[in-house]
Amino acid sequence: MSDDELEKLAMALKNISPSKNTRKDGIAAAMEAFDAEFNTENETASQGLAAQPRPTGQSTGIGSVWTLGRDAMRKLKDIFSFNGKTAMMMGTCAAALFVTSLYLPNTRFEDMPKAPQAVTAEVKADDKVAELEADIGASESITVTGKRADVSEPVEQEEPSELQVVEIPPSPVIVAAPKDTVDKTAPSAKPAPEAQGGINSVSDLLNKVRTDGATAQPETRDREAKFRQRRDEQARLMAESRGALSAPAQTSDADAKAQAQAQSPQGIISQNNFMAPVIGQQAVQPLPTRTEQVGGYILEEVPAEYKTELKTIVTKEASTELVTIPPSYETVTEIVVVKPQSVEYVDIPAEYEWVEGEIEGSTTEYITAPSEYRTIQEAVVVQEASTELVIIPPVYNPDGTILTPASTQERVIPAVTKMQTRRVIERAGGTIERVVPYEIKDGKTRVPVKPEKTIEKVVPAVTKEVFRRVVKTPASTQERVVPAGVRKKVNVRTVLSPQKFYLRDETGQIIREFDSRDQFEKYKSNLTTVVAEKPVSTFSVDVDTASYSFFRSSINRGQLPPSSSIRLEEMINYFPYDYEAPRSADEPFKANVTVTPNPWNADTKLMHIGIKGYVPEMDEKPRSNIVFLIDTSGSMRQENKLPLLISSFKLLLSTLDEDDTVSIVTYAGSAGTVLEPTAASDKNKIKEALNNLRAGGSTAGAAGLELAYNKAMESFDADGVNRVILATDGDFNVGFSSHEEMKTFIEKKRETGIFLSVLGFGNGNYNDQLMQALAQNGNGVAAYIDTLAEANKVLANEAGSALITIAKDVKIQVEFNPETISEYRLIGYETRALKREDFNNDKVDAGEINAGHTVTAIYELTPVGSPARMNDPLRYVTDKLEGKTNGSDEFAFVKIRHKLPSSDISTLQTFPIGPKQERSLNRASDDMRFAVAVAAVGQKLRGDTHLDDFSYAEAIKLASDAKGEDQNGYRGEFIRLVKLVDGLRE
Amino acid sequence: MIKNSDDEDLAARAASGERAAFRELLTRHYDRVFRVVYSVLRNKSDAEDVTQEIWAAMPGKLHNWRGEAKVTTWLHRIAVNAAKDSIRRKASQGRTIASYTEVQELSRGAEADHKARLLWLDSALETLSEDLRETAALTLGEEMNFAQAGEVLGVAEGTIAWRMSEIRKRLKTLAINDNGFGQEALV
Repeated sequence: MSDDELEKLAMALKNISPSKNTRKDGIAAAMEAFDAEFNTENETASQGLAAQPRPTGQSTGIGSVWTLGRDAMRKLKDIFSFNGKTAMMMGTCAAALFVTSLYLPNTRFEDMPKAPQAVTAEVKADDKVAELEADIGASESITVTGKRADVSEPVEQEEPSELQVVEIPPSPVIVAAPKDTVDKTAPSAKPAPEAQGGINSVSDLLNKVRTDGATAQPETRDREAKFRQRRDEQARLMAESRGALSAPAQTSDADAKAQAQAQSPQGIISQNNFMAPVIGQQAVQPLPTRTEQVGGYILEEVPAEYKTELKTIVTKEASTELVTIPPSYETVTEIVVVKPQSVEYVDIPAEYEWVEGEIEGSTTEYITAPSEYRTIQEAVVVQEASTELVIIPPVYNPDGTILTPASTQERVIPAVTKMQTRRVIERAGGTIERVVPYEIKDGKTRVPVKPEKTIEKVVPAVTKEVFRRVVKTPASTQERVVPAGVRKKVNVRTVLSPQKFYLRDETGQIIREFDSRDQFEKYKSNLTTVVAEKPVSTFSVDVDTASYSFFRSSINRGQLPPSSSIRLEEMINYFPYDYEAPRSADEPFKANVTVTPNPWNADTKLMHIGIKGYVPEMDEKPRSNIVFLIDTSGSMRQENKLPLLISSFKLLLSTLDEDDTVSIVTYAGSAGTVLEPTAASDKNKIKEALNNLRAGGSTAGAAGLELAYNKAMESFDADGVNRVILATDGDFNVGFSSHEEMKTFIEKKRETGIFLSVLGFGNGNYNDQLMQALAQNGNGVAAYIDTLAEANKVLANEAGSALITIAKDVKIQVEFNPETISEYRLIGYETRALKREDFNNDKVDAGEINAGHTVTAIYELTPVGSPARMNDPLRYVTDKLEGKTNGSDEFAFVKIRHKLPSSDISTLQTFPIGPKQERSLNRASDDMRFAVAVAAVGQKLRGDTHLDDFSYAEAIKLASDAKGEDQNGYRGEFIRLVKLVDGLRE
Repeated sequence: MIKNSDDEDLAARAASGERAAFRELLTRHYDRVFRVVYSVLRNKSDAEDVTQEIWAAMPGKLHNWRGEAKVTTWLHRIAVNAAKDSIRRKASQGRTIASYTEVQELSRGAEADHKARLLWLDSALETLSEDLRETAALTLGEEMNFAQAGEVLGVAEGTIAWRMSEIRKRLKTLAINDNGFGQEALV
């Protein structure tokens, strides 16, 4: 719908045109200017403005009034028409004249020898006064004020709009406004303060009015009142023209007016402002009921209904409640010890005395020796050695088959060390005792009087006084008695009806109801349909394969995929099947149908439908116009994203023809074109552009899509294939306010002939649902690329097929025979179910089939009389169809409808299925049995309970026996993956 | 002869003083310039005036015509710049009042359909900033691709793409908020 808006804007912009008169005048003025510029006046005198007769009746009036700027312009041109060059001068100053409602005393200009040098205008919106001050030739200054027509007084303006000149009584120079005094010297360039809050910001003020409401200051309120008045007027005007617009062309003006009046301004305002539910006035919140199609049934979600009421509740009995009493505090002065008292040791050296005589002896000295250090270099372990598990990707043969499967290997990460310098004590310091002999000098001996000693000195503590807030009484709770009879106002929300889900059949009859969606989902996967009640199953084909690739990459990472990511049809359709193809174009599709016993339930049968389309011989491949839209946001930096993407696109490049066109657009932070549309023959240029891609920034998806479609449009080929290929890790929502909006956008673009394919990369951000929806809406394929081999499968192998659509809107409808089949269940295609009547409705969109694609669908059938029947037969409506069937022994009737890509009319093909198509499982084709094995695994992964008795090992055996040639190794890979699944479950 | 000449040829001839060539350019592109100016100014009479002004000044500018760009690109650039200048030179309130006056006058006239379209366009353009209006005028009104529009406005192609998604968003908001007016105008 947003695109409708855009188209409408485009239409509106294209449709506007200047009025004929101004166009004529403009052209004349321009021609005159041309003549002036190139001196060709004499040739052209008859064409210039000068030749136009001056309107009469204006020259005598002193204060002629022009109501619109264009008229002012024309008028002035008339006035200055005596000089052909004036038009040029006008060009330089005319812009200043474009105020729309002006009063100009034109007589003042009448005989002026010169053009005005400057004319400036000032509009006081609020006072409804327009002022114009004109400096003429810098000699005179005239200010004219006058009451001007304003929007808020529409009724007063009764004169026809054609009337452009209004005579007002002659007056000398100044025409005084009724209210304002004239100010000759008022600076004209400064806009009036009132005008600043003028109509331009009405919407702001409206918002302000809404939010400020009652708290507004008196003067503000006064202003608001004015704006409200004006807004009402605008609303009325809008309503008026809306009325005129929605009314049929024949509707008279009076009708439109009446319509507009019916919608009073107040009505409009109240719609805007007061619709919100007001609590207290009993507001019921009615939410819409949502319905969705589920396998031919309709799931109706009825949301819970609430009622909110402001109720006064009277407490009936006295009660107690706990009241918290806050703690009380007091400030205390504390003495804090900053540094505790300590003891210092002070050495007092020995005292000596010189005595006569040489005395033998010795004294002990104490020497404090510092420690001796040594620096050493040593290796320090920064990170211990560790091991990690490395996934080794599978190795592929040149033909795409797997040479060695993926495996894991333990790798030792060596320890990280660094050299560090460390200082070690070589010899600890300490006090050394030394015995020193007495010093003898000149017959005197120095003897100690007092030995050296160490005294303890007490260093007093350093304290500080601090103030501290301490809790005097701690917080406590107290019980308080609440007396009876207290009135309380409370909002009471009552559930009128709880949330419900109803499953209805086509006739609207409720089949089952559920309390939650989960309950329904559980039921859905086991949903079987009773043939007698609903004999027809209808669905759209789907050739997407993304679900399978995602499954593979999950398993390779060692995780089971979430059950919501399993789409059975995408898993089954991933594998190439060698179905028999139609022999001629007369038979567009061939349905290869086999009915076999069901390996997971002996009491039911499987009906396998394999469809292959006729691939027309093409003289030449249609030209491809491809725009790669590449997500280069920061999250794409990983090895399995952008680098894989670049390699993938290089693969695709090799399959393109020389005259195909390739463009590259990236988006991250901002969108940009990396490669303008380039012929595919210029491979080096394209490869270089791909090689230069770097990841970084956040995702600007909307702008990217916008640009990509624009590029596709630039090199659009009506006969060719035009496709945007979006490659992303799924983080794709910046710029669009909702997924819905994005889908609508893509859908619109599809109608212009540009299709969208989506390639998913990586696993962190992968937004499966969104990408699925994008591709479905864009008529394209959604694929998940986890390895280069997958890229090869999707892009290179199928590039031809992925790009050439052989049929569109392909729908399948199967009618079951209640004589032979009692119940059926379509395996997969849940998201692709169609209504019965949609089958024949060519307007209903369905899936596309490209050249080379096959489509496989499998039904589980419960034959009549089988004990496997899930739904008990009805007691009262026994055999609804008895006597009405034709007694055929057929099982089902398969119908296929499709349209050729260029056609809007569908073609029908039918295939009756009976005992002739039935065979034992062993005799069924490899393709059929393999598809069944995939279906079984998919259902088990999804958690379908009715396969609990069928083990993965049995599925592996079934698949292994049906492996066939398996040229590309896809089937072998599947078997390997299922083996891993079995291991991962524990 | 003149009718079949391309714009660039005409401009070159007009620059050398060929009157008929200039007249042909005028008639070919007069409305185009008006449309672009209108989109930016959002006021018809002003746009008419500015358009006249632009064309009146055009002969003088022909001397600067170098034939490097396409004539339309050149004209668009001139139109956008003139319109922006005009906005800058004037306070815009008066203009808006006038445009309502105009709408009101029109609503009395016979062109009921035309005026309704104008009214819708006016409210649509009001929701867009000047940048977005220029962009809309060139990409939607003149069907330029993003690169061309970027060339005229002197911005990157990606910026135009961003602006387009912005325009789309704003118009959608208009449709939702505008008393349902925008939506009804779509009918």
